[in-house]
Amino acid sequence: MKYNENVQKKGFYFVLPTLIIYGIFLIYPMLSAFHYSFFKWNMISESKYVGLKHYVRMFGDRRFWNSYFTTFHFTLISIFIIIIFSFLLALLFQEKIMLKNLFQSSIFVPVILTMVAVAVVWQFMFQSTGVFSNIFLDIFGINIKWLTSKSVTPYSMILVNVWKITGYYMIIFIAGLLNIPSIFYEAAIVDGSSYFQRLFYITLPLMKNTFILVFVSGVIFSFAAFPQQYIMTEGGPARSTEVLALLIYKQAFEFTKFGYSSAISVAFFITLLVFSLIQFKIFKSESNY
Amino acid sequence: MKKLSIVVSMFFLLGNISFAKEIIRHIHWTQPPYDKIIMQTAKDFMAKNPNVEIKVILVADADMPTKVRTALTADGVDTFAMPNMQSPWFMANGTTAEIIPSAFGKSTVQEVVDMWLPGSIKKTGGFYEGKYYGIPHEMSNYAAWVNTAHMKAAGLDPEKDIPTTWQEFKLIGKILTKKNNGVITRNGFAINTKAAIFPFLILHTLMQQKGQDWSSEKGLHTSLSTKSGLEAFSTFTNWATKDGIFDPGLFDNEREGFGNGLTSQFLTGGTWYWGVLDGYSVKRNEVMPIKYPRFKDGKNIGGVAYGYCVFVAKKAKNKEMAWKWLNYLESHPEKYIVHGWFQPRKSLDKTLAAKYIPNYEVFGEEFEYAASIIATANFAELQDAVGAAVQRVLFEGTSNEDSLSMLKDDVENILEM
Repeated sequence: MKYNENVQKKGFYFVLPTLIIYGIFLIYPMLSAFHYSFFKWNMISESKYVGLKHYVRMFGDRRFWNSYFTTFHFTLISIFIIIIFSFLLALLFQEKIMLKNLFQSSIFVPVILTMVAVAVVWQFMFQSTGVFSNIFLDIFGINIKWLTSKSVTPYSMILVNVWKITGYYMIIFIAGLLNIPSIFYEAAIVDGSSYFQRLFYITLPLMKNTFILVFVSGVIFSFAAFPQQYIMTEGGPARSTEVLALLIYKQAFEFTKFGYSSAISVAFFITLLVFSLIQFKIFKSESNY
Repeated sequence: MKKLSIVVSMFFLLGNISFAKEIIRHIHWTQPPYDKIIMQTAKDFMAKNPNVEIKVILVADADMPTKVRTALTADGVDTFAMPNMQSPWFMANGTTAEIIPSAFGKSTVQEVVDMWLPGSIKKTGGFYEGKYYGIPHEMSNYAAWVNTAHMKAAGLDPEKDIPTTWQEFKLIGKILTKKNNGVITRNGFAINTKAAIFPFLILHTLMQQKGQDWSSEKGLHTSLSTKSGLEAFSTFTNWATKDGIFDPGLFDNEREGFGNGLTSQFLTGGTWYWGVLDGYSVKRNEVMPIKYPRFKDGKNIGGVAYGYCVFVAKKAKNKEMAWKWLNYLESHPEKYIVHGWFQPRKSLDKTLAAKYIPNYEVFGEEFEYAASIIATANFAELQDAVGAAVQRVLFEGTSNEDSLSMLKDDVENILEM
């Protein structure tokens, strides 16, 4: 008992530096943001208590709701496509195919690139004389306004996001597939099952937790998107890609409305908290086989 | 006893150090070759004032207001440079100190103001609500730039066919626009619509030319419900939506696009653009700056004048010395003009401007007619709202009338009217 306590104490000392750093750079700013959401403050002047004024304003602010729905649209469609693509790729790489490692690595490479670099390169490709535009014009005869159409640009953003992070979730799905005991498949094959029967009656049910994990973590990741929109569109055209993180940045650092920006941050935090709680619940749930 | 003596010695040592030199921390944006001039000027000032140490902190121009705000919050800056579009925020929020005439060897503020060309402190952002807080570091103005090689290739005469009205500007833009399969491959005119500031500045001129007053918040708000305001607004948006001389999707940065021959005209280049152009493929002899076109029935107003001023922080310990330093910093306009940088100090030999700035006659003459940019602490939000109004028409298909009406609502919200 004493030994365990001693080990725990030592363990605590080991994690203490991380806790301090987390406290200073994450917990304290979060609490500060919550605090400042009740104040009018521009970084220089005396902060003035305004109660719930910023929250009331936020609920009636078209720009906030536009950003909120833009973020949801971006997140949910991105995640839907990413789950399908990454799962299909994971299934594909379960099979014996030529140059498997090369293809796997190629799909994973965008994950390790910084979003800033990715955004700059894609921005060039999306210009009206860029590679993407030329391909579509030459093959389909369509001049797509990738970054200058309110209806198209949100999907251009999704395309880049999908390209960037599909490889990451593909790896998670591969890990999930490897986790399924092969004995299930062997028994099913002996019983004469087809590939699709095995997929629908063994693989998909046993991958449930992996799917939920990918969904929740993907939502959290995509919901916090910022550099891509900041670099490629600055929220345009006509605010069609102004995601919440970008709006928070603009309100704080361009318009110096730190109080209002903090209120939006709190709404942002609560939304992500809901998804995080779901994730915690999933991690606690037990494997069902 | 030993410990006590060490502490006492340290106290005196530190005390001596802090009393030995008066430190002035100056934040400036970095831009070679001007960095060298600033650093050398600081050295010269320190040589003349051995009791003063100037610490120059050069930072990237991007997001400079945030950096200065952060430094001001931490009392980490005594003097700083700021563009006229952002400086009103600092003056309105009481972060800057008024000019101290004695630091300039003068007895009144007006005498200090008279050391610079008429109106230049206002145009470069050192003036706010009746008081002078800054002195100019740089002044520039926008001219229209045209690719004369494109004109010649299209059978136009760069001497005779230069556009003087917006109608001519549009017609020449149409001739110079190149298309392939219906897609514009060379713009007749271009502007960066992604960054709200550029449409704001062009509209600023168009509105002023149409008799609207965009130099005040009230005037800006009023203009949005006038017929001439609508005409100015639609003149601008029509270049993309109706006239077909501008595809915003071809590139973002019009200065880069012009430098690479992807647009034949643009409106956001100052005297400094010659240096920028040298970094691109288009040659100096293939382009020229011209005066901003005017409306036939409009006022004689040119592109906006703008610039940077230098300021003393209100919390600076020795404001008089800080102003002395700034006065010294800004008393060498001849060093800057060699690189094409215009400082409107009266002591500058005017012939140097003509010598070192190509086509200075265009810029110099237009200074007098340049539109003064609105001095407001809400500048960032207002320009963002104006940029969004333009984008609504260009990319969303909203009518000019509706977009202006929405802009009016936005402006009322920003100004809490």
